[in-house]
Amino acid sequence: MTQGSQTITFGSLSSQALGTAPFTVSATASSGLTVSFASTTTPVCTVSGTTVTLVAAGTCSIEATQAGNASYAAATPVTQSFQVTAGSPIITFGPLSSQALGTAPFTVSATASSGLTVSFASTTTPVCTVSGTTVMLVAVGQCSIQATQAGNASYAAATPVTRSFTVSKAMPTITWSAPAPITYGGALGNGQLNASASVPGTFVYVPPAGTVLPVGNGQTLSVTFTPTDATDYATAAASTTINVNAAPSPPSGINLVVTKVLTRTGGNVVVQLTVSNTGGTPANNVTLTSVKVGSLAATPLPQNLGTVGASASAQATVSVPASVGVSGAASSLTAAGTYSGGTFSLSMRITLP
Amino acid sequence: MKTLLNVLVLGALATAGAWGGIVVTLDDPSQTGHPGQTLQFFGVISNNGDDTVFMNGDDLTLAGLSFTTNDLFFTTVPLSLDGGSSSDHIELFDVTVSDPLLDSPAKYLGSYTLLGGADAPTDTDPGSQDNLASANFDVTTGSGATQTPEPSTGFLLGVALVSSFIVKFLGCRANPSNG
Repeated sequence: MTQGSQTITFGSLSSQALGTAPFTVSATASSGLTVSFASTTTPVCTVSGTTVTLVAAGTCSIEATQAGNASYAAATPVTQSFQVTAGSPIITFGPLSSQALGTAPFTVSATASSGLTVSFASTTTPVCTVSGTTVMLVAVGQCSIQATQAGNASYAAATPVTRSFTVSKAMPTITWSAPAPITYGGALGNGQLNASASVPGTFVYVPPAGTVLPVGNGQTLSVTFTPTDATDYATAAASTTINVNAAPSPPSGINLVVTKVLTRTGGNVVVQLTVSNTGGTPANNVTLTSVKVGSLAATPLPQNLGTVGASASAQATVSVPASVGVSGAASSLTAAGTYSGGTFSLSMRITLP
Repeated sequence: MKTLLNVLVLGALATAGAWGGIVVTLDDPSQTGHPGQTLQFFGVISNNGDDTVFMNGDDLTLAGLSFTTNDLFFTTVPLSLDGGSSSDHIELFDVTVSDPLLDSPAKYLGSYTLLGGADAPTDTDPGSQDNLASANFDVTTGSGATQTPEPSTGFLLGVALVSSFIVKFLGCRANPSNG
């Protein structure tokens, strides 16, 4: 019996990009028998059944065969080739969260669908820099990190992906230990208002220096810190507490302790005096009769402060002319006054404001 | 003869508060003053703490209307005391009793308070004003004559009185009819 002939019809294949998912091919034999496929370029592509898997860039050749049977002789193989082009990998680079200036260098990561290593670079070097995968913050602003993958013989360069985040102002560190207890009648000063910060700047305290706090424990002292470098550092606040102990009670029941705050306004030296009664008996009709800075008498005087109760205080403000001296000059402050049934006075070394 | 002075000498009233170990001790915290007399208050300031303390000021409060105080802070109180050190015996203040007295003879109470702390006043620092320590004192005033007799005067007066008594006594014994 003579075998019949058969032919294979195997259409052309189009180019595919490396990275394309495996796909199937098909061909028919005029005999109706099943056509088999095989890759003749296995470094570029492989075939399993009718499924073609791309392996690398290059020319992929698929041979279609039909071995025949008792009725049909083997068909002449038909080969179709197509180009496997270098793929375009996709970079996966997650979002980055905002960071405060001063944050320690940190790493970033991204992956490419090609499996090749992703590189990073800053496109905003005044704000942040990158070394390898480590990002270092330089200044406040918007930091943009670009992830790239250059490609190789098999893969084209990936489309760069840029992620941006905000570099916010650094928060200065304020250090302020609770000051030692003080005795009523004394005024707050550097011994209590002594916060420090991690960067240069100015401190504003509440209550301010010169304040005479009442007797009591756990009284709050607050500070607002304004950094000199307001561009890169944020304003910070802190607080602590202080205990104010009662002063030893004088036998008379009245002890008037006078403290001061000096300022310079329009050239004049302004003297704010606080008269505190550390005793247990109210002082009635407290009158400030004399205040001198150096040899210059302050005005206006006299000033009647009324009754200063036990562990209470009252304030008076006077001033002396600018001729008292230049700022920074050492001088003296004296004050005197009366209350119903007695007198009080202050002598103090000062530096002119 | 009426007593010239109503003198009440009380026990020492010196007390001291402390900041960083500062103590003010008055040598003679209870003094008696007569009209026109000036009383001097000496004392010692001690720093029993470890740190240097700057003494930036002081306050004086004294009951009574018959006194003029003279604070010697600027001339006698040292700028600072190192830890563990003391001042000399220094005159801290004077109290002059008015003549005549402006209120009743009595004991009048006062307090001396020292201000300062860790910082001296500088062009950038107002200086500490902590309540470092206090010492109490009192002044007792007398009425009448302005001055206490000198001891020799008192002695002579006493001798005269005793002699007069003896002479009178002996005279009575020698001439009983006069008794």
